[in-house]
Amino acid sequence: MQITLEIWRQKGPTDSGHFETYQAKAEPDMSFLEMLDVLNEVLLAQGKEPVAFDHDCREGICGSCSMVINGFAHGPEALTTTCQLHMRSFQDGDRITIEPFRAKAMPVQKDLVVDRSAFDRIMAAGGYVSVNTGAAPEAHSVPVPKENAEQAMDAAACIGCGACVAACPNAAAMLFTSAKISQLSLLPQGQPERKARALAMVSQMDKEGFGACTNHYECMGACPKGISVDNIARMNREYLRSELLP
Amino acid sequence: MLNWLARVLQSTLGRKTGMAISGLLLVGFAITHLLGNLTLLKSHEAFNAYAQKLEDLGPLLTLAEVGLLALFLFHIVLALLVTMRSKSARDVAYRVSASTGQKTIGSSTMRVSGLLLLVFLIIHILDFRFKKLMGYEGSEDLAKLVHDRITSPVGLGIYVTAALLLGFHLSHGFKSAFQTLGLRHPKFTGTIQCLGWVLAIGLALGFALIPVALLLGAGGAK
Amino acid sequence: MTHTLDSKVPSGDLSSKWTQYKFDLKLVNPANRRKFTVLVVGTGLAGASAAASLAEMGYKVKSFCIHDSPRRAHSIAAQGGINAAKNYKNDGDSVYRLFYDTIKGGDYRSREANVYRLAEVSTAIIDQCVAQGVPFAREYGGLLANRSFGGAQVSRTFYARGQTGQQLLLGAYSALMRQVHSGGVEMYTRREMMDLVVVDGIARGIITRNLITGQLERHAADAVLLCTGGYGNVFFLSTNAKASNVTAAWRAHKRGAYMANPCFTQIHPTCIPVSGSHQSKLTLMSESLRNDGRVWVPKKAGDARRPGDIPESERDYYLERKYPSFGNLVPRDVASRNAKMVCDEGRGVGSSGMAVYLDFADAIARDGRDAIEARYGNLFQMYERITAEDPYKVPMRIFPAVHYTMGGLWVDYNLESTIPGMFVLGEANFSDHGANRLGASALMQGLADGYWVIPATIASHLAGRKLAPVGTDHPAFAQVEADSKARIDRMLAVGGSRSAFEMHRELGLICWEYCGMSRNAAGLNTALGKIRDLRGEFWNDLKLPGDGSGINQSLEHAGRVADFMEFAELMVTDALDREESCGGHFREEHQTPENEAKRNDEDFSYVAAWEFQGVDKPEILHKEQLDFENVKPSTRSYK
Ligand SMILES: Cc1cc2nc3c(=O)[nH]c(=O)nc-3n(C[C@H](O)[C@H](O)[C@H](O)COP(=O)(O)OP(=O)(O)OC[C@H]3O[C@@H](n4cnc5c(N)ncnc54)[C@H](O)[C@@H]3O)c2cc1C
Ligand code: FES
Repeated sequence: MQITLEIWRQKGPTDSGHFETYQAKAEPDMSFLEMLDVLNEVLLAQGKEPVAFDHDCREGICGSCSMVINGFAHGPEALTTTCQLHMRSFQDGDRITIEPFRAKAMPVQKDLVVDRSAFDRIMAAGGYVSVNTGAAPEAHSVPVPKENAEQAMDAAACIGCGACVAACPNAAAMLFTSAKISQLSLLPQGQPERKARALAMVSQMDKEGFGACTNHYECMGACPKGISVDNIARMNREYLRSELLP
Repeated sequence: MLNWLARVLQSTLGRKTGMAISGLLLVGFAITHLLGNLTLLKSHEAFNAYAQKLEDLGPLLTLAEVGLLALFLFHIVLALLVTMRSKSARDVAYRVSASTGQKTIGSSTMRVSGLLLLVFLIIHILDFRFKKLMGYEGSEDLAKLVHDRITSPVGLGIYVTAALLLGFHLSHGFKSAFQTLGLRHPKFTGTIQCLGWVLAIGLALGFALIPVALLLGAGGAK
Repeated sequence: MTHTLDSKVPSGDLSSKWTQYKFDLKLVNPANRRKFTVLVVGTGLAGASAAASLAEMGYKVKSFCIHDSPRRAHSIAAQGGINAAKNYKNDGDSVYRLFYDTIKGGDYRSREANVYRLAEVSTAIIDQCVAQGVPFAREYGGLLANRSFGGAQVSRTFYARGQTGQQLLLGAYSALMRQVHSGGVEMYTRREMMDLVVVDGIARGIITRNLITGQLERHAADAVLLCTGGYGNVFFLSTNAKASNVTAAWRAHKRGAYMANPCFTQIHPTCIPVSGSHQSKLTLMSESLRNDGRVWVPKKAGDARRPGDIPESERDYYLERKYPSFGNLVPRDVASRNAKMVCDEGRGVGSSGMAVYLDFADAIARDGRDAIEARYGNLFQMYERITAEDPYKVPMRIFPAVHYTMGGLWVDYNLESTIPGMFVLGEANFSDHGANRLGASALMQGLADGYWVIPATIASHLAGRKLAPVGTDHPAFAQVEADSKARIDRMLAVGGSRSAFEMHRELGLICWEYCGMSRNAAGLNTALGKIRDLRGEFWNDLKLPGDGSGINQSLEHAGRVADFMEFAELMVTDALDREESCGGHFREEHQTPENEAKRNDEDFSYVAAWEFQGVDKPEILHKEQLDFENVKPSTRSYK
């Protein structure tokens, strides 16, 4: 199949950037990233700069890949990361626009590569249980109701890709932050630091300059792991409980 | 305490909580307002009697009015702050944007509907609270004043549009407030959504139908 | 400098070795720990757990990763589970049984003491992870669930849906971020270690490249921990993440660390086959599929009919035919090898002819579609997403793929390499899996090394040796940095016509063809020639865009390919040298009349540790003899 690509090209963090148009050949069996691999080989052969993009596992779990494809974070298929997207989701002759994830808190570093270190700082602010190696009690000393464990796992499935921010009309990071707050608030191990965690993570999220959620739920629609906005409600609850209750 | 309040109101979640609570209180106000207005459909006398009852409250009414104004301002200022924050959070816009089907017309027009409602609110207050300014002086019959205003071609347009805008605003705002307050659960979220729709449609239709009904002769029209 | 191999395995009874050893080790006074800087390269399970644990103890830690976040390390992709000898199922598991299974599974090519220690600390790993909030699967009573995995006779595998690696890594990552927050760890993301700095024979630092700015940076330390994962990507196509590479290990090797058993690579039988020449990555499908799927190919070579059109009588269920008692459940290496054999006979299926069918039709007819969906629904969905074929209707196509590397840098019982002060953890070392790794034991090893072993054994170096103060102004740093720069400049200066991507693919094909599932002397010799030629071509005809500044992903990749080119030669040399078949290493010359692997304990019961002599010079082989005091080596049979 023959496609036309419009790709955001930006030399570096301070460059203003622009779109370039490329013609590319693809097979329906190719993954989207393989299509870009082939394009990059062609560009290199022509003496042009290949398109920079993040990727690693190419099976939808590391959260590296990050592109907005025709307006959709990770492309048009539900529950699919860019690396799992295949060209058979497009038609011969299609025009495909590829942009980086856009948020002030995730600045573009080059082409489609963005800086997501804000997520790490949110995690560092409180996304953990303070237990030193060796200090853990025997695993079976605290049973966890299966239902809580399952819900915690639902939240923990977040791959930290940032699609929620990219898809949010407000560039908010609520789904990401809430997934971790939820996971730990659902488990007995997370209880001692529950209040401090919610406050610290929310405050860091604000400091990073993410937007404010207005409950469109586009984040949930874009999330390749189907993380639910139930988690955002839980985070709000955790926050209020921490601020309001003694 | 002040520190605490300042902190909460600086946090996005705190601001959104403020918006949610003030929004829900305003919904409560809108409901009572509508119920009061319905007296107009009965007769001018009933409406004037209702208005008189309110006037008789004296300083309490003033207090209520100031409170209401504060509530509106609180809601609006927080909305502006939250909006400004979100605008600055995406400094470069997408060339192409698409929706995964989660957002609704109501949710994506909150800011527009909110702003238009604010414009309406100003007109509305000027209309009936500051009668003198608007040159309605001398008119002691409030019911007639209201009647004339909202059934005049321009008034009808403004008031019906505002009622519909309110419906839009609430179609998202009501359930959104519950989400923001963390009140979400498989057991009752569906109900809240339904209630949101009932309120949105009920208030919109309620407010919009009053002038229409008056035009059609309800409330013993002149 | 040649190093005599001293494994430092403590004497005494197997079960008390580790406890006694820890007691005998010198300790670093808590107040002094702050004075020691430890560099941890890689943030997979091994690196993240080590960095967090050492920082908690008070050491000054610097952690490095290639990604934009430490959470994205390759360990994130592990699916199946992690073993631990908890015996929660009361099915007769024990530390000794886990030890025994791992030694036997490794085809008697690993060190007893290390493996026993691994089994011993396995239980504490689960405690630690649970305390961190890792949401392992649970039973209705709220206690942890277990499953049997990879043909084990006991249920000792803990899991978090199909995302065990992710959850364990996020646990370790959260511990790491906690230390970043408190200042115990300085985190350096988007950094690639370019080389090791050795001063007076001791590892004293590293040179990194900042992948955003392109700048080379110096980091001095008192100890260096390589936790940089396996080298499976030497085959280009593998189930490894794209950035996984051998660079850090190989540079350390060139600075004096011995490389052990590089020919021991694991090929997983159930992966989604290659679909075209554009393929960049292979995806693993859980091994559990073989519990219900039947493996077959057409009897006739070149039979291009659709699977449904091939009558029962013209199908060859070759595993069931050749191994009547184990059937489709033969171990990974046997299943993989047989798939290759039938494809080599021209009986492979699919457009490439490099695949076999894994057919669920009988299972669906027997148990119903719902039962199969309940068992494998998510896997079937993943398969369909990639291939656009519905495995409920047409048989799956599978083919083996490179998955794990048992070989790696040689380490002693302290996990210290032959360069004092440099330790190697996780998949990057050679230590615990012999010639074949059992399912669910790599995660166990990565965390064992990071949480439990290194926090104890690092004191052997820090308290045991007198370390002269060395800063980044030491001439050795300038020298190694200049070496790194020269290499980058050399690559950029070639100005040829071929991309690193293309040559990596070619290298992979050579390795796969001659040093893959089965190997023979003639093929390995051919491979050596081809690899050398390709390496020559690489340095003569490489084409790179841009320069050394800023983000240059082609340059990053080329640097890794350059090291794979050199490493591949050693891997093939090791395979040539090991004149026996064992575990994942199958030498066609050494097989039984029934085509089964023939191990040679008499001559090859050793770890092959190679010492670098210079590019194009043959490496020197050192042998660490393996003594089996507790388990008697026996032959595996699945007939
Ligand atoms: C698809 C798949 C499924 C698996 N499933 C299981 C399973 O179910 N159970 C099990 O036990 N095992 C499983 N394994 C194996 C297991 O995941 C790995 O062996 C293990 O995670 C390795 O951990 P590690 O910490 O040693 O290395 P890694 O996780 O590979 O981490 C090393 C990191 O170092 C980085 N790095 C490399 N070089 C440099 C450098 N020069 N500078 C800076 N950073 C560098 C790499 O990018 C990488 O992120 C699976 C493997 C795969 C591929
Ligand atoms: S590359 Fe890992 S999720 Fe896409």
